[in-house]
Amino acid sequence: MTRLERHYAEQLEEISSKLMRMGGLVEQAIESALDAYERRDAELAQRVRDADVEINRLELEIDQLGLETLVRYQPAARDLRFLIAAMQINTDLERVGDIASNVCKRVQELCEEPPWEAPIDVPGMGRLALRMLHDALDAFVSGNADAARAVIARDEQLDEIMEQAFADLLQAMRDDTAATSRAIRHSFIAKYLERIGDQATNICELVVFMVEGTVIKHPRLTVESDGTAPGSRGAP
Amino acid sequence: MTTPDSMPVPPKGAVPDAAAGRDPALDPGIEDPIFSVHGLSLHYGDKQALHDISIEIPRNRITAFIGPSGCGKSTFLRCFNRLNDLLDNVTIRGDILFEGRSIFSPEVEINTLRRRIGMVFQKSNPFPKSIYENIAYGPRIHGVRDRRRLDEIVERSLRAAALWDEVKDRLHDNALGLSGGQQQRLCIARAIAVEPDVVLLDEPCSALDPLATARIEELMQDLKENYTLIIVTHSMQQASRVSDYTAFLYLGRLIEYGVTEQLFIKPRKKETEDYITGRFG
Ligand SMILES: Nc1ncnc2c1ncn2[C@@H]1O[C@H](COP(=O)(O)OP(=O)(O)O)[C@@H](O)[C@H]1O
Ligand SMILES: [Mg+2]
Repeated sequence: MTRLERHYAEQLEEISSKLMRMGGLVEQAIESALDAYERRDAELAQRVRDADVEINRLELEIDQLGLETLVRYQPAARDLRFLIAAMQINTDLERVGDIASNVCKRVQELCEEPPWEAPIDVPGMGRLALRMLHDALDAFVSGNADAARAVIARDEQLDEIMEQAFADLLQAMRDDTAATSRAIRHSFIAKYLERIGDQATNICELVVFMVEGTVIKHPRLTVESDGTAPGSRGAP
Repeated sequence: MTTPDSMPVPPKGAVPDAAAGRDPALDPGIEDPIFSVHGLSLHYGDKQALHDISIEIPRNRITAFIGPSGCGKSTFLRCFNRLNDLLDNVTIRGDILFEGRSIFSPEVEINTLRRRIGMVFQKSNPFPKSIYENIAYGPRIHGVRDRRRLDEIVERSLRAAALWDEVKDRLHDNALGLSGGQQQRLCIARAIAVEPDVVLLDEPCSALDPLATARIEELMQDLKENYTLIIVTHSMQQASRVSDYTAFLYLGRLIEYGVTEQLFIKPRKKETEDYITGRFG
């Protein structure tokens, strides 16, 4: 290997390892947010929110590394697909970090209110979402498209839990108007956790692209090689 | 050069059906190809430089041949207008159909073939004559004598090669006074002055700076409206920028052939992947 080839390989390696560090921090943020919810621990919630800067910093570093690699080495084939996937996963993970912070904000607000027997299993739903994210990142590291597809199939379950939680929370609001604000905060949390599943799905779609070179998001849409969707030019 | 009479020219109608047993790594499904190459092998003496290559070249498109130096790109390119005939220890087997007819058939007149299939080389090689004479030379050889007609051809060719505006006031200056990039565009103008169908380009930009390279690449995009272009390039970036189809050759074999984006995003063969990601050997 020449010195440049070594540098190129190191650069890709570094993007990968930074992304894994970011994934670890994001998973930890969700876990702590769920703990803070369970224990009604406003301080822990604050610590999670404060720690989000570290995730944001990693996002910028990975962006910068990715851009440098594109400019310097113009990667092709598997390197190109890796880089495209990594840079988008970077954005997805940063969003999950924000979601964890949002959960924590709602937890802090709930801590100001009396405890409530909510008709939604937040830790249970959270663990499902967390598991999806974890397995999505595993699929990325091991380059396993089948594992990624299996994770995508699990997203529906999270959607259903959220729909059920919305219905139950609405009923709870009707039954006890004094609990309205707590029910609304729980609705937000349910939505946030469902979003984590969506982000995990995005990551898995990128893993399939990285491994197989096929785009599986929006399966009913295809794109012409000039970048337009068929029929988008007013075809009959 | 010797073309063995046992050359396995497929009898008419017996051309292997592209749909039957087609290998997606070698056959992107070219409709109405201008060239069909069948089992082409080439020896320099007893050293085999091309091994059993079959490929279809699309009309009015840019096809790039890539591969490490010495893999046979130039040798292969020179087959299309039988330029290897000029060497005397060359043996060719297999066939190349141009517009459905073998270029090796005894009815083919080599000068007509080379008029219809022009060539631009790596080192621009204008004649040490005026710009005008460089362009008018080919048409004159092919019988154009009328001065007004020659003037027209010179202007049309220079315009087509995006050189007219730069040289129209000095058509009778020596062509060797042009910059490297201008000389290369002059060679392209000279190639198209005889109204070919195909222009073969062998690393046409390797001696040019990035700006001159960009102009040639831009010009190639314009030219493909009227011509079929085949370019040999050692620059994968150039192949991915300019070509519609890319063929990867290695050790004289065609390893993979496909739509350019496809080949650079998701090649089907590991050798291709290793080559274009720079992990070769
Ligand atoms: N005129 C020739 N006589 C003998 N061998 C040749 C000749 N031209 C090329 N070769 C050999 O054929 C092989 C392919 O060469 P070439 O087609 O020039 O490769 P490329 O254009 O891919 O660099 C090389 O091994 C080269 O040495
Ligand atoms: Mg060559």
